[in-house]
Amino acid sequence: MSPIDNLKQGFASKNIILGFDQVLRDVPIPILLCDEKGIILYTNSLFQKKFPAISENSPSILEGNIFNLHDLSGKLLEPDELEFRNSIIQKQEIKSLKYYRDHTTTAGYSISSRIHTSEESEQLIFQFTFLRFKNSKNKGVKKGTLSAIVNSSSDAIISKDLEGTITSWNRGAEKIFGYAEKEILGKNIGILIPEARRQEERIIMDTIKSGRSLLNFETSRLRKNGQEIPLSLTVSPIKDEFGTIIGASKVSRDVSDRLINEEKQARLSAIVESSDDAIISKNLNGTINSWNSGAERLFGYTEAEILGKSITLLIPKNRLGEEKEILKKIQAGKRISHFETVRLTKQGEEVPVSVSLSPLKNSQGKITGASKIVRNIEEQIKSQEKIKSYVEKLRILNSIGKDISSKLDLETVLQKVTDATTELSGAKFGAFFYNQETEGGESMMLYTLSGAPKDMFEKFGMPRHTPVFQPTFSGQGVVRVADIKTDKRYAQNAPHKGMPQGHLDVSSYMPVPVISNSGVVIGGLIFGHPEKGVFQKEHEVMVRNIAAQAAVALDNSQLFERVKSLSEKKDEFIALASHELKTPLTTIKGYLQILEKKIEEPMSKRFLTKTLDQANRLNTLIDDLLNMSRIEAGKLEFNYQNFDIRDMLMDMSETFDYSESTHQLITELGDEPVIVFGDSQRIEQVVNNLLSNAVKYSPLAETVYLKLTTEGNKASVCVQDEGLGLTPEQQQKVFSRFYRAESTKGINGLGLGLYLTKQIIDGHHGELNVKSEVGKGSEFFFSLPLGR
Amino acid sequence: MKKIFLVEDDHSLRDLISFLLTDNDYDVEAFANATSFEKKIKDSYPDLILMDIMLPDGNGVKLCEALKQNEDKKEIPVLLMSAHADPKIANESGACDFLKKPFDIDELYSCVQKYVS
Repeated sequence: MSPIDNLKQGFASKNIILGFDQVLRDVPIPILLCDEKGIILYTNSLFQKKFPAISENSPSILEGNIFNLHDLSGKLLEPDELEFRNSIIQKQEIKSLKYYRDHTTTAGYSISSRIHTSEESEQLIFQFTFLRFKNSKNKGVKKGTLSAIVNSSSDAIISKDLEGTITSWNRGAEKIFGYAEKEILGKNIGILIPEARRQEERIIMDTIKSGRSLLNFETSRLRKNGQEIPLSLTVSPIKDEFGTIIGASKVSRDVSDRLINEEKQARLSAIVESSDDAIISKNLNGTINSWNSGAERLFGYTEAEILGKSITLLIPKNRLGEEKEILKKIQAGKRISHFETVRLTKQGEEVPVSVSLSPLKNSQGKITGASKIVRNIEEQIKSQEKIKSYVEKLRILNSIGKDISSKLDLETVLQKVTDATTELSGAKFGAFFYNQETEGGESMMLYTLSGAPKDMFEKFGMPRHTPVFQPTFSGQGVVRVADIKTDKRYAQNAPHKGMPQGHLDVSSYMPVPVISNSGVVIGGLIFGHPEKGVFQKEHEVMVRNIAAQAAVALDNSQLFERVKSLSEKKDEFIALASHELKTPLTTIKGYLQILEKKIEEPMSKRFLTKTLDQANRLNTLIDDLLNMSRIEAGKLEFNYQNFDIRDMLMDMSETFDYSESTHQLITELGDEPVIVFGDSQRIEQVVNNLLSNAVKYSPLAETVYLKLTTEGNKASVCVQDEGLGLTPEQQQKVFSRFYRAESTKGINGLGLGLYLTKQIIDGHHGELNVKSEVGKGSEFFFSLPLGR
Repeated sequence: MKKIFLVEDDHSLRDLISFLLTDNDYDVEAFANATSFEKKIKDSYPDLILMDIMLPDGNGVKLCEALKQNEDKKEIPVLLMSAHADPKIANESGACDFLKKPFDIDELYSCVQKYVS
């Protein structure tokens, strides 16, 4: 049973679409199925090839002009697609609705539809078939075209005068009635009419003489061999130039199955002949016995030279084994679908192909050979490889996006995006124009270029709201023009009226707006090529995707620039603040110190000392804030050198004894100098901070311990108190910024000390850790690399 | 009596330092900004210049570098003061030393003494 027969019977199975697929998959006519809502249910493989932009995921056919078809003048076929859509809405089948894919050619598709009912769901399924046709370009030959139609029609078209004498006879008439044109012209129409129906002719002639037509009159007529055949007649009057009726034209359609079958056979063989794929059949010995024009194009052999030859002629030597396997499967009655391999052309070139084979059976059901559809997949493989490289590029772009927050500046990102898209789109050159606001809120247009030196564009100024650029910079969408110089939007703007002199030559033109997630048009990617028609739909889709990626990258990068400038401002602010705060602090300390020296009275002297301590604390807090800002801006720098940490700790313990009268410091520092590599000022800050914490958080204790040990290539310093201690949870958080343990309420601090300490030790590639038990005390210890 | 030029825009601190140094028998001439100092230094040869880095109309480091370029003045010791600058910057500019704000008055005395004697 042929696929088309299958379709006629309607589909009732559960897996309707699966059923359609089995039948339609390899039919060499583009076919699309949709439901009553215009939702695409299925497209067969040739449809997918011919209309790659349309898939099961496309919007409903009812929603818009999704086929993008044109009439001969280049006008979009809105009304016709409307007709196409109406056929779904009104549930009517359509016959040969003609569409042109491209107004520059006269080739197009003749669309016909068939409506299937699924018994199970009572749903209608619309099957649209897209038959290829080509119009003769030769105008003014309407007559010729008409006579061609008359001649090629499978209907019998006959004309006769008022006496019933036959005056013309087409090929369809020859086929249906069996008389040749020569033998019938001049004869009376009566010889075609069965005895029992002689009356009819009089009625028909009366109708014609009254100027009326007769439509689809079901009757029967006689063939030359006397056989009576069922016919459907349409008869219309023929008038002379004065309007006088001089005869009748008669269209007879053979409504017997025989003709339908013949017609179908003809249509099928036309389909096979017109297919882009090579369609070949062979017998079980591998001898080729049919060869279509697709096969001629693919392999280079004409039908005449290949018929009767072995199929192995097409198989590269190292793949001859494949044919044995194929034949085995065919003999077992199995199909082979989309087997990807390589075949040889007449010129000896290897072509990558996809082969589908089905067993051919004779009328007894015995397998006698195989039909073979061979598709050249060179382009497919190329585009797959392209896609692979696109994916790789996208991955790169993605990773660029990730890098941006830490490394890349706007300019670098844009350059990379421009380079990548220019290469991917096949453009000769590409440019990225983007809007950026300056600090003062002024909008600037900057750009990056790929494929051309920057100075070639510099003198032309920036694209603005000209008819050519406006759709891009207002974010309307992608424009793809085969030749911009012939576009009606081109050359509308003074002073240049087109490209300024010295501009790179552009014919193919494709600008893509770059729109951020928030919908703001960030800018546009513009691609050009001096040759016409370089940019295809696939480039458009791809560049649009990359533009979306680029928008994300730009969003990130602009955010980054903003954060960076804010952080620089913060830095400036902190520097200024610390200067402004410390200058009066210096004055306060100065006067207090003068007073301290002059005043002898003990009470006043003690108050002054306390005031001075507080001034020093204030100074430490300002330093902490400044250091934090440096850390956050990544600007905390260390002044590395070798120094004796034991010596430093000894000095510090002396000062500690002198200033901290509440606690006693017990040291275990060893007897040998311990040279470490680091910033001595910062390390002193660390130890000071740990010691003052130890005192601060052990208000009831009397002792703080300071130990120095060495192990391997590390020195380790430990500060231990017998104070409040920390819970395990608190220990985890104690090094975070602004963290203050619950139990420290009533004790002063910003929560920065340990955060800074940790940052400093981390910066020295050391380790800072804590061991603690609530109620028993804490032990903070850090390690530093030994000196070199 | 040793002559000291003091450049400090904060008038309280300027007064304090002037007081402290005068009290220690130095001849102090104080300037509130870079401009007035630059005008005066052209034909003066103080024994020491004590200068804040962050000035409203200039930068102490730049002023110091300029002086060190001048054959006539390069021997005059310059002592820089700042709240947060890196001592290295002061060093590289050719300053003899660096006082970090807030400093103790003893630090100021010992530092000044070291370079004026």
